[in-house]
Amino acid sequence: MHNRLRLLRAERGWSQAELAGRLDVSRQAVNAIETGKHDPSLSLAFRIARLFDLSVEQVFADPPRD
Amino acid sequence: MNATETPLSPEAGRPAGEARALRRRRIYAAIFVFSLLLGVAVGVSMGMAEEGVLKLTLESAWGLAAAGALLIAGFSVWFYRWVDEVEVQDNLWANTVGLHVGLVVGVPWAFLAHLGHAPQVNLSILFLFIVGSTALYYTAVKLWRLF
Repeated sequence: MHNRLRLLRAERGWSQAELAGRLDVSRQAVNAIETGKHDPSLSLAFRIARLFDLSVEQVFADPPRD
Repeated sequence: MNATETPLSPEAGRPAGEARALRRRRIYAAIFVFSLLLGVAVGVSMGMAEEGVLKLTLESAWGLAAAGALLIAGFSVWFYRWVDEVEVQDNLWANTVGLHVGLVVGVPWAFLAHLGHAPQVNLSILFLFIVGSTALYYTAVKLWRLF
């Protein structure tokens, strides 16, 4: 799943650790989501979207299937 | 409070989630140190019991075993309740791999042993396969996430 998390975090000048703290997850989790190595649960996806005052669809996008 | 703000912990002035993560790391470190000390104490006690210096009654041995089981179970419950979803996922996958390796090794071995074509199943070796494959998978997935 594609996401704009790294971009959104950079816009606010937050480190991965800072974002992790705001989301109550580990820095490893933030890194895994940013690099596409973990698709967050629905609950975490909503928390992320709410934190940036966006909708889930504005943060995450399902890549088109062949 | 707008959508980009999160509650601050009053004592540290940092986001509450970050404070919780810090507290979690401290508890984890304390449990790790406590487990190390407990392990040393159990090892020394077992050594003394084998040498006959320490007399362990049946009741006290059962009590110690039950305390150990409770500690391990308690830690597992705490761990899965406190860690985030990535850690839960990595642990569950590692445990699943360990369980399946145990089945893949253990069941055919027991079958062959039953037919007399292999020695009896050695639980220590089986345990080593399970723990080894669990640790191997866990390490591999952490390295994959790192690079």
